[in-house]
Amino acid sequence: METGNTNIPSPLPSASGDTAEAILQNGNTSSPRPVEKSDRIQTVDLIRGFALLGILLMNIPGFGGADGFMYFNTLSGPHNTKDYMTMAVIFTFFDGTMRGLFSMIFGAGMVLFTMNKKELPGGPSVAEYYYRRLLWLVLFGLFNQYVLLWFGDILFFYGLMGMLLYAFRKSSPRFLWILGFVCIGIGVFKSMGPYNELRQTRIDYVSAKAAEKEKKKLTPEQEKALNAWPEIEKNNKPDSVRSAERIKEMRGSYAQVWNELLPGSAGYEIGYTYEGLWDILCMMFIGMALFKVGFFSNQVRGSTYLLTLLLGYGVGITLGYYFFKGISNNFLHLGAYLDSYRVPHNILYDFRRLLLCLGHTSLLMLVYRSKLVPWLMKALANVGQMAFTNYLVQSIICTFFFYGYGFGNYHKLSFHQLYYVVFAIWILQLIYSSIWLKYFRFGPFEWVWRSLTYWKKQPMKIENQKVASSGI
Amino acid sequence: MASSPMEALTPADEYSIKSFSPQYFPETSRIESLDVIKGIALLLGLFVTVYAWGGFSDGMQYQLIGKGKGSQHIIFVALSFFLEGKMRGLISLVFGAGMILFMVRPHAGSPVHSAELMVRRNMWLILFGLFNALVFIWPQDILFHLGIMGLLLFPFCRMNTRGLIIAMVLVSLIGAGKNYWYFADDQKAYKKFLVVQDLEKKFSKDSAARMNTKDSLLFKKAQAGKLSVADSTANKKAADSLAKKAGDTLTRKQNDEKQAWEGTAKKFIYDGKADSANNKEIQANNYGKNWNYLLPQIKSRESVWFYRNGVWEFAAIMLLGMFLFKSGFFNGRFSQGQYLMMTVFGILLGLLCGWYRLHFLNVSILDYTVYVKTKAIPHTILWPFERAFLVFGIAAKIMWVIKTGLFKRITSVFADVGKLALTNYLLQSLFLSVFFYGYGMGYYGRVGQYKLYFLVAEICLTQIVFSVFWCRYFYTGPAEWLLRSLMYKKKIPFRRKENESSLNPEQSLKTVI
Repeated sequence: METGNTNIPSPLPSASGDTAEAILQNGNTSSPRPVEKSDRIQTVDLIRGFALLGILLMNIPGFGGADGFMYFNTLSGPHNTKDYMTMAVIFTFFDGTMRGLFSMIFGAGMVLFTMNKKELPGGPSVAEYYYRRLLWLVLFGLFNQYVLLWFGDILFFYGLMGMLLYAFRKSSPRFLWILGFVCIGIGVFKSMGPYNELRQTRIDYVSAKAAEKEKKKLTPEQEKALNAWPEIEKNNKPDSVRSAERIKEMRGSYAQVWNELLPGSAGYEIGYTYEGLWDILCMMFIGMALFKVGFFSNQVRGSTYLLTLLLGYGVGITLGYYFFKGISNNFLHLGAYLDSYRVPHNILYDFRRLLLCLGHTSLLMLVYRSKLVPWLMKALANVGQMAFTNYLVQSIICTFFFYGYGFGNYHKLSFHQLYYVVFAIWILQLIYSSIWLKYFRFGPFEWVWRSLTYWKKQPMKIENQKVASSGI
Repeated sequence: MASSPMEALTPADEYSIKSFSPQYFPETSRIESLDVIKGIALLLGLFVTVYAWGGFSDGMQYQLIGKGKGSQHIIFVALSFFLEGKMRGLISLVFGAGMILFMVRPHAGSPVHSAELMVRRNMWLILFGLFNALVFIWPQDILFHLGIMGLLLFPFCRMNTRGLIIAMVLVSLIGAGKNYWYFADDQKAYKKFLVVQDLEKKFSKDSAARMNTKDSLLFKKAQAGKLSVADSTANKKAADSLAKKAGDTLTRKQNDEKQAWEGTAKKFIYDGKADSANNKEIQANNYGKNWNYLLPQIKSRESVWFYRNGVWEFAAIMLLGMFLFKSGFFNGRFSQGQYLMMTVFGILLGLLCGWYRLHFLNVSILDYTVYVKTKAIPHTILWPFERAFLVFGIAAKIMWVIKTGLFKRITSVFADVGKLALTNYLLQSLFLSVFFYGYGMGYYGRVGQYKLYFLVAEICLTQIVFSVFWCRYFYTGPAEWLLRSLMYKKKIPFRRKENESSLNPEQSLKTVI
């Protein structure tokens, strides 16, 4: 039987039984009843599939148009348009949560992969496979970023961050929770620095302006402050000339698109790895902790899921809406925002999405248990089982649909229309994943990745079709 | 599936050490040659890193290369040939080799698998590096990078020699390619600048033409011979407003392009003003101020430089170290004559590449604009190969010295320095930080070239004596002890017993060769 956990497969196909054993042993803190082996693993795939489809919700504006400009126009326009409402819903419910869920499941998969493998001193170890795998993942990330030209790739970072997780695979859930919150704390602390600096510039400007009004003689510092702020405000507004140029380049040839994206891509990979790693690490640690208590493997009581659902959505959605209003306010009226808020809404970011992630997961688990829509759950699990392929396929489809060397639809659709594309891709992925997994053990890119990791062509076809369809 | 592909990749490590010893510091399985190389690199490397410590700015260094004469110039260039980047290289070489040694050496007394210890060690090393960079305020720390590289290249430990050397060459080629790429960017920037420059010329011509039309007020004044000095600013203003009307001004993008090249063109030029402003900041006698001022440099080294260049530089030499280790190079597999041949081969080719670099660097320094205009290839293109050849040559030279067995006393002294490499490295940072930065003694930018060398020589002497004495009484240095204790998650004994002594070069060499 294939474990279904293809994102982090076990090193040897024969060892797949171990992973199920591992969960049995490690996820027992609050599991009153034993659950079927296949059930447990399938729920991890289910959440991964959900997160994978969801991630396109957040990525599509990047693929589809000069997003800074689009956000600005939509947010500053009337609030009863389809675009505005779409944006409000997307930001309130999903912003950052899909990436968060994906990181959580990555952490969970890491525990699955390494757990309960016997390590003989001197012999080849799980660690070596694990690191080899991750190094390939980093290369796949570079491929996605610089060849497929998806400039918001995450595989690169997951590969690198995964290397830091290994040492914590045996840590207790409590310790992992602490680590997760420490990472959130560091992230908040780091984001406060630039905000305070910006705010100081604004304060200096306001006081200089007041002095000017009273016709006092200005000191050289005040003169400077008077010039500094308008410059910042100008840079904060989307530059229509620059936007037009970007649209032109993005509708151009492959080389044009490549050159247009290069500086941003390099800066993104450097900055997000070095400054932004907390964003990923916090969710990975929390994901490991949640997995260890059986939260992702359907081992928690129904009432617990219900409570986390209530808490997650109850508080998370409220915070989410408040957050959305806050950041759009920040985006549109930076000066006034700085005057009125000592602390930016951004510090809520991680707490909000953590709550929403818990809410999403609980909802999925409850639906799964209720057996209301088994066909949908199965389809989502299939998507999750070949998540790596599906992620890259999203890049391929979207770049071809939007960029100039494909169909050149860049910046032609309005914000809400972009989501028609998302729905189409979802349906496509739900269908082909199910069909593909009828005949093959894992997705095509998973197969490449796996073969590279073991440096040997891996068997791909399913000999006995009955085994495949019994995946659920 | 019974047979794991791992076995297919496992090389026959017939030359790697496989001795077992139930100690945390299995000295019999230490390879002394690695310690010797590490010790030498650690001490000599300081002769070039001291420039950055002491405020001997890039501009000053370029000036010394381009316009310098006499012994100062000669010594500087010689050190650039033999030490710059190569001592860091030797440390990476030993680090790469040490990774395999770490994996094959049994960590007896600990139930933890080597791979697990390896991961922990590298993660702690990253933190040690952050400590060195952020507490001693040293932007060019290498521990941070070595720790990350240790994690990244960990999967290569089991690769065979052929795979390793192929990977090493590929990585070097990528490094060279990137250096070319950065130069091509400069060329592009220059081309854009030329376009903007032509445009500006055209604008000023047009503007002059407009000013000469008969209905221009200034023209009339000039005709009457009444044009005063005050009018020349008015003249300019009038010309500007006319140009604006005609749409004859540079766009923001064009202005940026112009400035971008103007900055690049100056990158090899000595800027005394910038230097003295920089010195003033670092001489400020406040730790917080020093820290805030140097923080961007630390960050940029750990992120941008590492992403663009560092990762390739470290990877190439570490892979070379793994390759050499698996070939038995560090275990004295080759004969004296063979080591001598390798020395000559490595150093000659390395110097040739070095000559290319320094020659064309010189041309760049004289006039970078002309260089960009006339040359197709940057001076840095052979840099990865220069490093690899020289690192290889110097390592072979050291191996030859060990092999001859003539200088046992001396090599064992360096081995002691190398055994305490981490401690010595951090002590260097501590001392130089206090000595040069404003929060300490504030000698930054106040010490001349020779005095810097003298200072380093004194440090080397101190570290040698310290290391030899320390190794008599302890198994390992304090920083090494801390790293190991953290790695094993328990306190490790590190005091030697009364009658035990490490000063037995004859015996330890026997175990090596």
